[in-house]
Amino acid sequence: MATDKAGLFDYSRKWSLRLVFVFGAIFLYLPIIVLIVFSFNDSRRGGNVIWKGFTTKYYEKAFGNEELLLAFGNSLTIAVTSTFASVLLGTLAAVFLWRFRFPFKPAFEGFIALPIVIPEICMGVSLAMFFSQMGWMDTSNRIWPFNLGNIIIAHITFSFPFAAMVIRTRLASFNPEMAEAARDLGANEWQAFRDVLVPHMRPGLIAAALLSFTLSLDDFVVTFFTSGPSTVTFPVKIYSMVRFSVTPEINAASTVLILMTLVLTYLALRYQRLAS
Amino acid sequence: MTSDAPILSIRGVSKRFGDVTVLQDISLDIEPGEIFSLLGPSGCGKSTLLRLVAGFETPTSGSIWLDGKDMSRLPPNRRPVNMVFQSYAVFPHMSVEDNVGYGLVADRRPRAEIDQRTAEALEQVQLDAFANRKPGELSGGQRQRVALARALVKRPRLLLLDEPLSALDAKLRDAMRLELVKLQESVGITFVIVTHDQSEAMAMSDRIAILEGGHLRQVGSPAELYRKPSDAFVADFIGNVHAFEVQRIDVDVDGAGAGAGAEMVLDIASARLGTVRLTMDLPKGIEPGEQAPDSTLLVVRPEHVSVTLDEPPQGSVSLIGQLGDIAFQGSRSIVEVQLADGSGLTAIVDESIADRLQAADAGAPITAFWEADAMRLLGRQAHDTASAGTGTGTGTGTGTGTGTGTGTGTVES
Repeated sequence: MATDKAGLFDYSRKWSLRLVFVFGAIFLYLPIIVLIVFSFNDSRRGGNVIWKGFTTKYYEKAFGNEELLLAFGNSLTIAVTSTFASVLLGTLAAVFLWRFRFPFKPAFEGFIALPIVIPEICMGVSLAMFFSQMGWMDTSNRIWPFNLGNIIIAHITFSFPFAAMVIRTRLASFNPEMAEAARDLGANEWQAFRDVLVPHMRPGLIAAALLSFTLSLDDFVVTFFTSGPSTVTFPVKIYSMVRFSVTPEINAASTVLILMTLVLTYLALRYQRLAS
Repeated sequence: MTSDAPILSIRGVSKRFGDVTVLQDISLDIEPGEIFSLLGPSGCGKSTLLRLVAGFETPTSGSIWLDGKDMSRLPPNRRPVNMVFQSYAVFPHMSVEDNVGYGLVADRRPRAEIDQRTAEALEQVQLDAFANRKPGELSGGQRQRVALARALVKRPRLLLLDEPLSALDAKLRDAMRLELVKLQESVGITFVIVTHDQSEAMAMSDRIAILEGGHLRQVGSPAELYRKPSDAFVADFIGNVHAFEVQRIDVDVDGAGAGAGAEMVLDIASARLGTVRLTMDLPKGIEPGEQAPDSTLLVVRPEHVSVTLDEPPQGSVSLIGQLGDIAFQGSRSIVEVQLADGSGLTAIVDESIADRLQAADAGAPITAFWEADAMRLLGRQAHDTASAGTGTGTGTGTGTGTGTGTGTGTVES
């Protein structure tokens, strides 16, 4: 463009807006960058922001911390299980809402979305009350991974509505003639679902899975209320470690978690691009 | 199977969605190897009828027979009938080849056969060079060919096409129209086409069924529908007509022929035309004597109307008015005549007359005229068309509403 003046929507050319962008980025990402940088700091206290030299010993320490590893393993198990269940339930709910007409459908759709707007603390308390009423709160006599059942159930209840809504949105753009074409060409109801509807839903399924996974992995409030002494998850463990003393070990563990999330997101996006 | 047995027989089919009746007692036969069109304005039920044949809907009453077997309750995947959808519905995540082969895979044909038949079908629609493309990389016309190949590869008894030309631009539409007819001749499969475009239906079809408001109005060849429309709706839908209300019909006793069924001389009284004398059969459903308001019409086509600045020929039917717009269309021109009562009349005239009119001023007094024999006497709606035979037996036929013309359900998919 030969003109000097910025166009109407040409925001990137306005200096004031560039400045806002830079400050916004700093505000959002600087804490994370500091966290990562100081995971390599050779200092005894993690809260210390004075650079004392490069070391990887806190990574070794974190990977040597059996309690932390156990919590991490618990978190991954819970996240993977609840993601599968949420996406499955979300798909069923979304297809059901999309495909059928029935009385009180708007009310039903509203009820499904309710866990999204209910404060987490309320869900945590109500689930804790539910589990203790059922006598499920004491999980110490159950073998792994069944002792994580309570937390998995709790995570499904709050991530399934997100999955359902994401998939439902994707389904809105489906042309019903596609499914009819498959039926017309000889596919039965199930084959039409598998061959035409599922491929269409795929980006929604991936987005729903990513969303459920991250929601589960970093959930603290609901997990805190539904976990027992033998079922500590990663965020809960970090919290208890912070209360005890802040060391760069926590920075190191968090950095590993950030890295994992980034890799996972990258893989999901790459897969989505390959599929389309 | 004898050659004159119909391939598809629709017997007394009605379809209701809730309170809305979309199709009312439809009966028609489709012959093997023909191109049959279902023609009507939007909301007439033609798409629903096609969906009933494909199996996406089940009839509320009546039945649908293919090759002498009742298939009314069969699911779509078990009917030897395939469809080309209006949106084409090509699967976007599959290659062209996989799209075309999909129906054969669903039928669990052996791999070698699938590959061979897919290649043949792609060649048939000239897409063999595009086998490995994704539909997103194709033009609209090419996508339609994929949809065609995908249906034809299954060698269906019937190919259903829902508004096959509506999504194409004008130039491509004409080319595709010819190509579809050629394709039908080469594969020999019976085509059933749904369209709202009468010129499209006239140009492609061996026979046409005209639907309106969920009723079957008339079935016939394009020429039959044009020359012998069964009612005023059909006459107006297949090339326009000018209609004049009839008040009274008298059978001229002196000129009366051998009796019922034979042609007779009718004196037809119309407020606007005076009394017109026609020699013809009295159409079914029209009785001599006083006519109910708006029930009986005399119609004439614009191409039979001429105009003159002088006296009209003796014996012709004429109306006096003022010269309106003249639209030049090459070898012929369309002339508007403003009548005294405020209504207009269109005449289609040749060059020599148009040249003479060019000299006259707009608003000049002019006479529109036509031969009495060019007129047809029609009921506004023929009530009992083609619905004879199978089915309900309850007192239908007389109970249908007159006068409204269009009207019942507008469920169009």
